[in-house]
Amino acid sequence: MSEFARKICLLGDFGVGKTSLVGRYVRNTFSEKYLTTVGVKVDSKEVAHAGGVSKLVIWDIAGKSALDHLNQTYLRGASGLMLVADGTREPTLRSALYLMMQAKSLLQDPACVVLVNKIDLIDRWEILPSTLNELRKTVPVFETSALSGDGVEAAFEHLAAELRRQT
Amino acid sequence: MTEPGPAARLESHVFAVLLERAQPLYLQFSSDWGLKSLHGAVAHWRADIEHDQLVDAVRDLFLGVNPDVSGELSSVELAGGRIAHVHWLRGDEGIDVILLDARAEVEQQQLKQQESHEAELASMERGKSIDRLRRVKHELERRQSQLEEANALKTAFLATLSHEFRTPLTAIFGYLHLLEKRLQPDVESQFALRAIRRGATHLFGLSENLLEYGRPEAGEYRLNVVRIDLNLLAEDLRIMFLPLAEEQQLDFSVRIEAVPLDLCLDEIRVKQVLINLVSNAIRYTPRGQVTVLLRWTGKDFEAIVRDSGIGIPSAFMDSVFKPFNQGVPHGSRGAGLGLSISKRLVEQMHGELQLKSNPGEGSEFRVRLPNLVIGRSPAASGSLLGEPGRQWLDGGTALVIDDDPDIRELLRLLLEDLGFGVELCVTANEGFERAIALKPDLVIVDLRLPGLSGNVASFKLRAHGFTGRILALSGASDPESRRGAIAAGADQFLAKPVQIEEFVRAVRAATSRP
Ligand SMILES: Nc1nc2c(ncn2[C@@H]2O[C@H](COP(=O)(O)OP(=O)(O)OP(=O)(O)O)[C@@H](O)[C@H]2O)c(=O)[nH]1
Ligand SMILES: [Mg+2]
Repeated sequence: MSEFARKICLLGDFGVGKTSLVGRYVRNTFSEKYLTTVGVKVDSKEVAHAGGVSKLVIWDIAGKSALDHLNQTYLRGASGLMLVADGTREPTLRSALYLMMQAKSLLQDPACVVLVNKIDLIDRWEILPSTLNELRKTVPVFETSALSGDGVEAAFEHLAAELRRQT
Repeated sequence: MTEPGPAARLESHVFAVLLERAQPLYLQFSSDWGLKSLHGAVAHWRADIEHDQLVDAVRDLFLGVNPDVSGELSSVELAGGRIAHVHWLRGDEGIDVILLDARAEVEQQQLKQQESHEAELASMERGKSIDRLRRVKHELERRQSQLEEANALKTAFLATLSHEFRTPLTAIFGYLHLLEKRLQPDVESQFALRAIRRGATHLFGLSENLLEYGRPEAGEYRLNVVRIDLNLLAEDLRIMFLPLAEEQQLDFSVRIEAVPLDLCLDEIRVKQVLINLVSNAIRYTPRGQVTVLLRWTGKDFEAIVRDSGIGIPSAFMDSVFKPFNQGVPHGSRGAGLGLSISKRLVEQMHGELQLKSNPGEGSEFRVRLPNLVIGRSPAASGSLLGEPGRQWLDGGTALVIDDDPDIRELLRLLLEDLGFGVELCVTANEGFERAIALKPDLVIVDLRLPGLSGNVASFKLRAHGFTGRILALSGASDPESRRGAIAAGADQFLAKPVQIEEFVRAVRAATSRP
């Protein structure tokens, strides 16, 4: 049993890879096929670390570029946010940052990380390195690939550690 | 008791239908989330066989929340693929949670949403594809002239082949250079080193020819003019060809006449032309001699290659300069690419290539080149790891990310020779981590690595504010690859096979401080 449990939500535009990231992190699987998420998918994972075992309850929320009423009901109780963008589509980064701003106004000081996904497709990226270098000054940023797994564990671990630190 | 009225009957029918659809499951929890009871459509929700999993999943939904008196979470997919509308009611003794089956509704919505998302992605992708096509079309048009001389397939094939040659040759020359520099060779190893150099040079000449042949005739080329040392050039020719000539019992000599102090030419091209002409002469001269004369006429530089070979009938004087023997009878001179490429190279240097020949008596090729003005630093010629570089490169650190152990090691030795402290890595991630820790002055990254591309390392470094220089090495030389590498954050892009001179120049440029 884990004595420490926290709820985190994944937010981001559709198709950026939220469901894939959770699949990689929780089950270590990946599928090329796109199956859009309706509503929300709730998963959980327990992780052992120096301080014991903690549990993350992960809410993978249907992709939108802004929060609607339904998504707001899903956010309640979240302590952490994972904002996900797709490096090959520059506008999804703006959506992610907008969502972060909206979600922060609904929650009490949530821990945030930004994931820019699909780093395996680097040659098709539209987001500039300098943009992320700037962004990193205000929020932790991870370049990830749900396909190869790069950066995924690190991003979740970072958020989990941040949540443990906050208690 | 009276019979229920018609309205009540219908209502109870509706109720039955909805109940059948919703398959409600009721879970009663105490205030501290202990399960008090579970009933309803237990089998439908697999609440019997996977009891604990389901109860935990329901509890998890309320993590961090202090639930209102009543509420709803719609379209929630729980562990095990259960899709529910979740309702709750809070009482004094705890909280009641009701799961209603939402699968059919969610699946229907999913179909619609999928369609609209895919349409949007497809239209975005179409836009990008059109851009890409435009770029490709532009590029194709640019290259069309290149394909006129020979057919496209032959060209592509030759270019690939010569690339295959040049990659290992880069390693051979690099190590040879180091061995020659570091060893104090005895006579035997000196002989061996020379033999290796000769063989490699020959291969290099061949592959250069193939590569040159694959290049656009009217396309871009850049002369690389340096102050040339004719004595060195003559010595190189002797080292290369004397053994070959001796095998055929030919006299071979290279003479120099009247040279100005400052003769500036494109050394690599001149050498390539002479290698082509001399190897051709030796091949077609069964007995007698081959002589090379290098001289300054007062106006031009002249190189004359004379042989006492089989000669060329006047009818074929023009066709020998065409690639692959076109129009020349089998067995006579002109086979291969050497002459056609030599002619092209000479023209690139604004010179002339003339041929005189008498069948049965021999031939004379005369190259005439104007003295070119030095455009770039003369450091490019001669000893590649010359002293000037050393002085201001001392003390830097470099990180090499390459998965080929030979190239990795070679780069390490070269960079150490240039005064760098060097570290080596194999993958993009490893390289990124190392570079962040080490903060090297220079990162050299191969683009094709196991797993993520080398561009990921460049990108992530720049995205973490890395300000050192990044030099990307790539097996591909097309503009898309170059664009990709620079966009990812590299300062410079070198296509493999990397000439050592070019590499040294790039390293110098990369590390020169303004
Ligand atoms: N190449 C590559 N493809 C990825 C990666 N992550 C996700 N994808 C693909 O991107 C598509 C969308 O992934 P999802 O995980 O369904 O995206 P989502 O953010 O959950 O989308 P919605 O549920 O519609 O909001 C799928 O085809 C995935 O296979 C990645 O890291 N690299
Ligand atoms: Mg999804």
